Amino acid sequence: MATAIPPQTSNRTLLFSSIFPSSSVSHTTPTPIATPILGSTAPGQSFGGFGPQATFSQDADQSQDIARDIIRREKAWSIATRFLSSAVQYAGQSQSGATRRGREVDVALRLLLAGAREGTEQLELVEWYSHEVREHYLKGVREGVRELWRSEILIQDAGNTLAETISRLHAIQAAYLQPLVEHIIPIIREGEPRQSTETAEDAPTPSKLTAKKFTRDLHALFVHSIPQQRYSKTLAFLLYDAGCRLFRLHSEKTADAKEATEEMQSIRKQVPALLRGLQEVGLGDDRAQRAFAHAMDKLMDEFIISHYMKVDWYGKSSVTRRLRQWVKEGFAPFVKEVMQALGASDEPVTAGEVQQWQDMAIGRLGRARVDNLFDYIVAWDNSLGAVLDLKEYIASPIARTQLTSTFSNQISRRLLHAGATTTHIIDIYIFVIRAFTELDPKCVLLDRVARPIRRYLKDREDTPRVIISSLLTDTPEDATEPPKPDHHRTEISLEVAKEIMDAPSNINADHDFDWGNMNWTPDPIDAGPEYKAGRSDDVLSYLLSLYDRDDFIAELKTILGEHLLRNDTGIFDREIILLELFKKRLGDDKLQACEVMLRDVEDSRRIDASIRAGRGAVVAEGAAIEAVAEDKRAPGLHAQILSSFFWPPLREETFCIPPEIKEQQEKYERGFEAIKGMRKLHWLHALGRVKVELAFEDRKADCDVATWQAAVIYAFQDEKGDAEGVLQVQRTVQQLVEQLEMDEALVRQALAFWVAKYVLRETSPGSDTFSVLERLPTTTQGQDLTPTVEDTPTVSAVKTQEDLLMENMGIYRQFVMGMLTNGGNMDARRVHMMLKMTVPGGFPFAVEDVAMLLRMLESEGAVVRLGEVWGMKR
Amino acid sequence: MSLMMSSTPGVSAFPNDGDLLNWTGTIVGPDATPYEGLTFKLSFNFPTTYPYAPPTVLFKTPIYHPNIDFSGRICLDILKDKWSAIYNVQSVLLSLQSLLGEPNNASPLNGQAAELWDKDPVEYKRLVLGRHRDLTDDEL
Repeated sequence: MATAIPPQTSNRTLLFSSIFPSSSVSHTTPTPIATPILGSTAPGQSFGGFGPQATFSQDADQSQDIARDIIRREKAWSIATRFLSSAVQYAGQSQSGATRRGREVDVALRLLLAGAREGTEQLELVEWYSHEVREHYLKGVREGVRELWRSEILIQDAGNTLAETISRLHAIQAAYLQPLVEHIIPIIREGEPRQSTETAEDAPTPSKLTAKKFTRDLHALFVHSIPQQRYSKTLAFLLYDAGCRLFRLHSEKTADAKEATEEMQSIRKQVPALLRGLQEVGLGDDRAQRAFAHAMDKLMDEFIISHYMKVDWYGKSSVTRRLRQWVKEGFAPFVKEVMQALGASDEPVTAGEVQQWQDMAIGRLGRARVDNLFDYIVAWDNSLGAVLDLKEYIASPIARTQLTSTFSNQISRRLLHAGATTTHIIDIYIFVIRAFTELDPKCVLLDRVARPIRRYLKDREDTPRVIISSLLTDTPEDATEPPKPDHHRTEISLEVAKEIMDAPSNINADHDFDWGNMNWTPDPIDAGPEYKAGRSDDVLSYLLSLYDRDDFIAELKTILGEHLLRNDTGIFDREIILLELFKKRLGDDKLQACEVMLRDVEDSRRIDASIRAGRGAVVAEGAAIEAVAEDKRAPGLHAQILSSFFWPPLREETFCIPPEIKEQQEKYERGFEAIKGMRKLHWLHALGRVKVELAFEDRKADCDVATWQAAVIYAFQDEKGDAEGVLQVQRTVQQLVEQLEMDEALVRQALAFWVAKYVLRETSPGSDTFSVLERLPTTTQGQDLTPTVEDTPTVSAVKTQEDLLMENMGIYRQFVMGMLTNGGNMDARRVHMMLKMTVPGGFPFAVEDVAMLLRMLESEGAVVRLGEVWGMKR
Repeated sequence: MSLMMSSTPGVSAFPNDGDLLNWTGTIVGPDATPYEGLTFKLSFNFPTTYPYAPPTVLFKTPIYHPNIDFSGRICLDILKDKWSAIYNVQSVLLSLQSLLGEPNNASPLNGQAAELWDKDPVEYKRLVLGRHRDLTDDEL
């Protein structure tokens, strides 16, 4: 029977297979060309490998028709497959691999695909075809594609590689699809029942399903021949790069506008084209979308750190508005375009999505700003823009927590360490206050971030001093010039000094109870239930609330006292302002002492004047001539009368003052008693200032010095008056100490002061003997005599803590000794704690002072040090 | 509660670790007694009714004495029924210091010591030294 049907194939195929007796030919013929003697098989007997056919044959009766039918089918299969396989073979080689199907092929195909209605038959052929294509692809094409992706894709090659891949795959796909589209699909379609045109579009007809399945298989093939990771990365980079170029993220300067728009347009064309290409060869969809998502993620980050989102240092305005605009008008359309190219739905980007992206962008911007927040704070208030950027970010509690915790970290790492001066910390603190009130008018955030700063500032000893002295300094008009450190060597915080100038008037305005306040907002959700809404946004109240009132007032007293004593202009405007300010904040009653102090200095000027006048009158009554003579000779004396009860403890060194002054003092005292009734004057010799006029052999010198310095130089004059300059007056330190009954340290300080002024000199180095320098040495001589003391340590009028410690040394010694005797050995910290607890009236010193005290006791031989602990000497 | 601020030679006291109701006191043995040159630690425990009730005073350092038993309990009238609110830590310490030199042998807690005090001073001194031992910091 086989011989009865001559093999009818298309000439071309025959020709081809005769020339290329390739394995594929034999492979493509699942049924032998010469039909086996099927007819002779027993009915119902299996044909072996050919399931469907076998089924057919089983279904069929023994009738000859069916047997013939089967054979016909076999034959058709053979013809069709051979035709298709040659088409596949061609696909690799020629672009115009369009094969015409001959009549026989046509018949064969029709026959084979006629089963389309049953839905099984034609799939057989398509499946086979798919397999064929796969074989071909794996053999011929895959290597080429793999080669492209074998090594890492260089950044500059990314575009090319992708384009090349697309073009190759595209070509091969077209070739593979052609036979299917040209030969198989139309036939299937013919067999389909006619459908109404309305439903035809979307209804899954067998032909469409077939095509779809085929392409899906093909795409899977393509996808698997490309390394996934590398592909995603490359694509992501390409998209990211395109995005960067599109939004010009890297080029600072705005190049030629026309050029720019051209480039943008070309990118806008290129990218979707490329992506469509990818989509067509099956590399789009999920993978590409994922890569795209990565790219957009990076792009957004890039945009945030790009020059567009730089902090606005000059305009001091927020950039969030621009960011939102960009997301809406730049980012979203770009995403849309790309997604369309990648085959996502055509729906326009919804407002919700844009909103989401905007929020995301704002969040990222916020985090970027928070990372550098400390720098912005330092650069306040040029960095207002950055802080305003944050304002939108901190809408959510998480963001707020993130902000506070990050910023607290930054502060503790960069500010609150021993290397930062108190002034610096206070300045920064003020900036923090200002910036955070701007950021969050309710001050909840401020409350949180400021806590560590406040705690740290409280630990610093010199904080109140810096604050108060700063408040008392005159603000220079141009703040650029750093203020001269005053004699106390306290650094001045300019910011604090500036603050006093613009202290707001409504300190006690309570926002929550101001019913007319149209700007009222509820407390933020992260405010604790106990949270007191920002009392006022002025910085001073924060600074002043750093300490307990009493501490602050004590410090204020000390500093104010010193300030008043030093001030000899008689103008106390600033002090009065300050005092009023403090009164308002800390309460009138507490500042009584300070007020008394202020009044004292004012009153004493008046009393001084009246005493002098009065004395003049008294003298005039007695002996006018003498008085005049005396006035000429005797030094003038002014006094400040202070109410000792209200002033802080003052320095009280006693020494012998020159008799002339003593006399004056007594007179003054009498005058005072006459005016003030029963009150007594107690002179504090160490505190005054003296105008000294020194006459040398070759020059004169005018100095304004402290009393103790004057007393020392007076001691040199004394004898000279008698000896009339014949003998150089020489004094040893010891002599001076005895004569003046002055502290040795003070004598030495005074001597050093005068040596520095070229008034005295040490007769020979180390001899402790000084003499007056009557003639200035010539320069050559002067060099070895050049005084070394330039900067004499100055003595403050008010007692320092250290002085207090020394004063109470006796009591503390008792306590420490008792403690160590009975409690055994202890370390300095424990001793400190015990002292704090047991000393009546409190122990205002630090652990370091205790350690010093212990060392002093050790040097006295009372205690011994045993490593970390101290014990009694046994 | 009066603090011991003045320094009386030979006696001192201080609160334990900030607990103002528990003090540690120290007595140096008076000269010309068998206790010469020895130091003795005491514990003071003040009742809440102080100064209307006497503090509980115990010798922490082991001591050989007619009026003090081996666990450090003291037989002294001012710490018992003769207590008065005008006494303070310092006066108690001074009383105890003088008790060391002048024991009350009429009401001994340690009979042997009371007997030896008069009979055999040398043996007494030997026993005092034998019993005495300076406390380490941990035992306080």
